[in-house]
Amino acid sequence: MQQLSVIDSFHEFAGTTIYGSLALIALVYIWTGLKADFRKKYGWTLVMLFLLCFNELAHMVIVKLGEGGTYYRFFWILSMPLVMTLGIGYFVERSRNMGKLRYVAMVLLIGIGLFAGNTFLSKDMVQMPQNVYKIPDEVVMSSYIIHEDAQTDEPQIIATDYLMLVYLRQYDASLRLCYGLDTYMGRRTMSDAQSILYEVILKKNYQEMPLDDFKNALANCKIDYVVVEYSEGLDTYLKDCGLIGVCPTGSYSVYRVEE
Amino acid sequence: MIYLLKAGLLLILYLLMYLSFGSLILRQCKTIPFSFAKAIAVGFFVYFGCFQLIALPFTLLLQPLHILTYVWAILAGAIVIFACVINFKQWVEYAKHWYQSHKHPLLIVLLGFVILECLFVCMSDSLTWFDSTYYIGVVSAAIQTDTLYQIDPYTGAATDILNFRYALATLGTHSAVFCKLFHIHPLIEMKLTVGTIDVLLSNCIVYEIARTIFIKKRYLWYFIPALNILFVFWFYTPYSESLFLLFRGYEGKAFCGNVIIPMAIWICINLWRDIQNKDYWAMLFVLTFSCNTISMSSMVIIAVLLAAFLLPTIFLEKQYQRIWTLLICEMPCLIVCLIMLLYRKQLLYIYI
Repeated sequence: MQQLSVIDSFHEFAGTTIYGSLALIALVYIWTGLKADFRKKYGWTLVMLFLLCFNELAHMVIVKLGEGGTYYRFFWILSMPLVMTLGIGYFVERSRNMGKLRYVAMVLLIGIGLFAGNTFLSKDMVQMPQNVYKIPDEVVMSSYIIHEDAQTDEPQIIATDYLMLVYLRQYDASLRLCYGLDTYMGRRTMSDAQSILYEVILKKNYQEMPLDDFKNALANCKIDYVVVEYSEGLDTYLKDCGLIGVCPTGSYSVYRVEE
Repeated sequence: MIYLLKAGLLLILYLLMYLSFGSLILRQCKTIPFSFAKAIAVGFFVYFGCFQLIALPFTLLLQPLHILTYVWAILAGAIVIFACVINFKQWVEYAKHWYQSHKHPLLIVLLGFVILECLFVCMSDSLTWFDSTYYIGVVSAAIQTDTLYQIDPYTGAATDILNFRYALATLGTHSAVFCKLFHIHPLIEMKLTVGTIDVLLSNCIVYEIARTIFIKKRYLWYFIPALNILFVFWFYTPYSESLFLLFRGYEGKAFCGNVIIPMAIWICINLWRDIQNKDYWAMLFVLTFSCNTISMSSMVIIAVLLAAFLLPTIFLEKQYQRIWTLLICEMPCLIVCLIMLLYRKQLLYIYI
């Protein structure tokens, strides 16, 4: 998003050109129906918004400040659902002389607004949560298994893959991770030992990693457990390195590192 | 099951606290008529403004979480009891009046939509959001280690310096306080209770905007928020405020897009009507004072929004002395901007 212009950012923010255009039309429609003094204030406010943030210069300044990735938040000032809603509200209020026809027009306008947008309801992203915590069951199970197996209050250090990096410490902050999600996102550098674990466990590049290197990396990072999505090849590799499979948790496996 | 019950009770407690704080402030504002929606929305900002005054010194002085929990529980409890005692009569009278004057079929539709939206937030799951690892992780770490922002939520290792970008926003600290107090898991408190609070506050403010704009068209008071909910469900883009509201309501950013910005706009609309109204200016200061503690994203957005919405009115009405009032209101945002700038340039930091 950082490289985009204001117009591109707007397109990306609005999702579809029609939706963005409808919101802009609603903004203008609201302006046309206001009383004279309010029309001036409203109009100048829009001008000020364009001068202060919706222009290339402001965009460039924000990018220079390192916040280009969050520029889209300025569009929240003109909340599109609210602007379109108010536009329709004004239409209903002003079109009383149309009689019952105004309700038909209103339904049509709402329909166009909904048609132009993308709904959350039809997306694959919405699903029923697996549990009350709204995290994958594997995370809950893995935490339970580690605590049952460790039988100690000492914090256990875990090397794991992407899913657990995201969720494990949200659910159970008593567990410590060898590398975190910030490492995955490239925001933190790693030691050599961490890099080896990262390659094998997170990237699954274990075929060419010598067993001794991996064992030394486990010892250097003082790893107590490895939690990883089960695959036959990796399972064999980890067991060849002396790790003991504690218990599978659905698609995941927990391995204990023997001292 | 007990967790869900606690989450529900916590939701009621949060609303009661916002109502109490808001009612206390609205009592002092003679020109702003009382309503439950308004009191809750205003109270949210007053409440977090007060919480910030207590929580920030604890965070900056590296104090343990449990002391903050006790201090805030006693203080907030005392204020809520005081507010309940002096406002109870007003609440009952307003509730009776409200019930009699708000009988409208569209109100039922609106309430139905709000309940559906809350249920959607509580019962739906979505893709993985990286940010939740930090926001929820930091609360889990605080409860686990009895510290405030001293643990890296990604790994659990101790951090060297206080991360001002997150530590100055006390929304997470607030969740940690109540999770500790009620022995409730942060994932449940944040994803269910705080997510629902975001939805309710957002709708309260849209309702107040509708009331302010369409003063005599009562049916539009209910129609506007209901239609807004419908459009929210049809505004899916990776950056839309709707996405934050429905899936990431526990993050400060979601409050910024759906609560703080609409509230600022509502106050500005009222100031367009009467730029001299001291009560709305006071309310604006409360908003700018507390918005940064809810979401750090607000510091620049709100500063820009206020300048854009109020400067034209000040000049058109030739009320030039109000420029100073606006500047005072902008000051909290500008101070936080300055702190963040110094922090980024590594000129200001706190070692742990």
